Amino acid sequence: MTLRKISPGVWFILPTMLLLVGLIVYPMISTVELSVTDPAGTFVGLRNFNVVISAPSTKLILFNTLFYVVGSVIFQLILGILAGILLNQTFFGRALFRSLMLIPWVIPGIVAAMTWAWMFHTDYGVINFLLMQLGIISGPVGWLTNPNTVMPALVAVNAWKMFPFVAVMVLAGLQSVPEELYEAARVDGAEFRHEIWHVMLPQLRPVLFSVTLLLVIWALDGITIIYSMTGGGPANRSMIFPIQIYVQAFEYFEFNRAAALSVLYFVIISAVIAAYMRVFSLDRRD
Amino acid sequence: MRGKLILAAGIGLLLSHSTIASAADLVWWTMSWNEQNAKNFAAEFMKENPDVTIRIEPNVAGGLQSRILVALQSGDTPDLIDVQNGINIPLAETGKLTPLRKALEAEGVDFNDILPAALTTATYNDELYGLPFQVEAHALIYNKGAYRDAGLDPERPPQTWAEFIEYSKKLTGTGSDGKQRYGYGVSGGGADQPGNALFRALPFMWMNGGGILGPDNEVIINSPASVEGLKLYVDLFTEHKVAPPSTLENDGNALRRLFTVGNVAQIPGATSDIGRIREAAPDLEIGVGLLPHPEGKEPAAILGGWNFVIPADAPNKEAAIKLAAFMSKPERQAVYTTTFPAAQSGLSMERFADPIMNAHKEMLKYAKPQPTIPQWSQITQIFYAQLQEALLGSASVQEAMDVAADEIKALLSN
Amino acid sequence: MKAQRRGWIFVPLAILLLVAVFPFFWMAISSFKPLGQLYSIPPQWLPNPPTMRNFEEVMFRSNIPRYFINSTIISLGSTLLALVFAIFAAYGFARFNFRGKSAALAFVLIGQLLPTATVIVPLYLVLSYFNLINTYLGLILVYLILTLPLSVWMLTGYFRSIPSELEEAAIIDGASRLGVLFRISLPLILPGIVAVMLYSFVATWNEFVFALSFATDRTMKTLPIGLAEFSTEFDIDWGAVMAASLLMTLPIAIIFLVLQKLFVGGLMSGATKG
Repeated sequence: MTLRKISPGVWFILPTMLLLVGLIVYPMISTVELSVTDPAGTFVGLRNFNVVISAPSTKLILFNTLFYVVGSVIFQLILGILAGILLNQTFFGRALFRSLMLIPWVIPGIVAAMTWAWMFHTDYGVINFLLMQLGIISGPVGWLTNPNTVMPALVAVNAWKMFPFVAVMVLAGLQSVPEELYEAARVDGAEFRHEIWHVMLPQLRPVLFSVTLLLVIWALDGITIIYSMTGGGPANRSMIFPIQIYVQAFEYFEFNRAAALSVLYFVIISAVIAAYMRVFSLDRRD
Repeated sequence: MRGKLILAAGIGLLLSHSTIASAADLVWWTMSWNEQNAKNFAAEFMKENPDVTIRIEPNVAGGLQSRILVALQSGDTPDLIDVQNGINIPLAETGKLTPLRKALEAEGVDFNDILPAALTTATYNDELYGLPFQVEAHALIYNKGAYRDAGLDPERPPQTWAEFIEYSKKLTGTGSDGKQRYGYGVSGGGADQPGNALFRALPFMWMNGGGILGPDNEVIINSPASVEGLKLYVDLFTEHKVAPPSTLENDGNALRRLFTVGNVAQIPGATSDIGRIREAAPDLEIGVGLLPHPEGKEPAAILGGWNFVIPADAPNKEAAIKLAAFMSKPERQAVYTTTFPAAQSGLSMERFADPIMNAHKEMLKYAKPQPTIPQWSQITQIFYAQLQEALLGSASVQEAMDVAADEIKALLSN
Repeated sequence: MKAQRRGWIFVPLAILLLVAVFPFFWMAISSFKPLGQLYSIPPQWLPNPPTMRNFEEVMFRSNIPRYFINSTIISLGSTLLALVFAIFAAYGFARFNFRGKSAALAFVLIGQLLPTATVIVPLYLVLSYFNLINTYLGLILVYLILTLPLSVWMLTGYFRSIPSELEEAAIIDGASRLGVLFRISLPLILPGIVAVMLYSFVATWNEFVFALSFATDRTMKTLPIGLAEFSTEFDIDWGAVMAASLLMTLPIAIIFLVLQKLFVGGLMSGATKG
């Protein structure tokens, strides 16, 4: 059935699309323009792109970015889903627990990052102190100074910061699971973990699809935690792309190269998202 | 009809500006810690110049550079801005600052009184693009109690590098209070970077006759003199182990905190550090000495500080120049500065009479400004990354500086 | 009625809670510590003696109270505005198929992808042109870039989780699309709406870079800038920062505590029976 008249869906989305176009189009065009010109405004083609791609630390930064994104998202999802499911159960003090669980997400990013940097500090940090008191480690560990532990530590902080968001989204999603599905499962002899696997998770698919995509996008643009805690160090062992872009623009005053990096980055992320949508798309279901 | 009125009022509220700004308002971007001083001086200035109204907008240190850049790039700029002397020239290079020399001389600014090295921080292409009002340089801050505990004379800080290493080793170990102590604070990481590490490490290279860039901005970062100087700094952590294990996450603030709790016995620092240490640990006996230097050579330090700049697109240039000249008086700088005034005659004022500041005053003589080329920010980042490689032990100092030299050369030839 | 779980549920829950809350607990006790006790080696647990100096600094000697008001207005405004737009857009994406739908959905996401650094100067010019620098409306509009794409994206997912039979049944009974949206679908995704509102509010509440560029004086600045104001030239007043962070974090947690009751389950039970 072809629609000769405009689908009502178009009217629904029109106000939002107009608003977004108004706010976003000019910055996008400006960025692309900056990326192919030099500071004087003359067109230089792909020279800025060449410069940024051939920068020596690119491979390391690429690896770090990948590690950070994949690691963060996985743990944010695991902890968030776990928390969402547990907080959906009925028990005394549930409302209080839910509010407390929210806290990591709500604390301002810079404060959270600096507090963790403080706690991770090799000499006056409370984490080393506790671990040594409990006998788990024998000497202080350089969490943020040892190249082997710095990225895992940062991933842990990022997971801590964002898992409440996942938990809230999962919790909201779980509210729309019809009670009959649980009852049917129980009639079939299911235990709690079966309920999780066969009832909750499938019902959460649309929500998890959206949430995962968002987590990936945010991890890919997440500057605050790493920038505040290690600055990308030591020696670029924790440097990721979004920080490079920020530093190019506002510390080196190299707006053109920052724009080139942004365009590159944007293209790569779009490719990732397109692939993601294709693999996991639910468009066919409706 | 009523609904429409409410709607209009609501929109009115949303569009409300804070103050009704008129075009004659001179906008002064000062720093949040100087807000009150700026307001007082502005009031004084407005009395002498009744046709000018000054509006003070305090900035925070975080994101300051980006805020200034956005203003300059957009053309919507204030009239007078407080900037750190290290970014004065990169800002001038954007072409959006006003040259000031002739206009300030016409207003009677005494350029002979200003620390010459400070003027260099504002000079680009033989034009002056800023007016310094604050200068500072590091000195060696040490814990007299720790000196006594280690059997050292608390009134005699180390002069030469040999003494410095010897002192630092003696200070490292378990103190008489049973706590672990380290001799010297090396800065190899943390939040305020690469600035903090640069200010602490580069002087070692300078004092030895080396540096990152030479007088003609040629790359000398891996020359024997430079490497030897830097190696001393790195060895403090890697070889002699007189710096704490957390070195690769310590910026200047972290080192001061470790000093304050007695964990580190000597740190480089400015006069402002002394105030903070006293506040946190009133019982700690503080000693200050010149930075140690190689035998037969002189100390050196990077000149820190702040300058006034006036954007090229400023709407009230003449008034801004008058204000800058007004603030160049030594007695005003003596109040406005957080460390030392750029006008040297101001040093004799009462605020700087505490004898504990003597070493810092003397270090001003040995302070040099950072190199003034536009790519300096990127160069310091390259230096810092390689310094960390050396501190990590994943490369020798020579190897690390060779890599840095190659990267810097590639950068400069682009 | 949900079954009551046995006690073992408390173990993983307690661990999660400990991990989530410990840094905040550390921040909280630190806000009562005097300067000298913040960095002691070994770390000190309880302040000795505790001091109210940090809170006094925050409440009476800083701009935080004024910024609190600004942040509330801006965050609330941006959240509500985004919600209104997003509800319609998400419903359109969830329930209809039309040409260009994937492209439109992709464009919605694009807003999230632009790195902050490259977007600031063009946005500044746009706002400046319309004289919206340093106004509530200016910041609320700019924050729509942060809140709108995500709200649309998430609400689309929530709308999709409603079985379409429910709505179709109503349409057969003569309801209009809008009527279905407001009377049937919206109430069913109330938890989702709460979640999205919470996100928008938190995102704008803690946002620093845009606020720094577009709010230029005291009467417009927001809380994150207030936090940065505790950094003097050579140090950060950590005690005050911790105290201020506490005051910034607790209201949202309390609001969520109150909104708990909207996280009601079983809304769709019985929906597909019969």
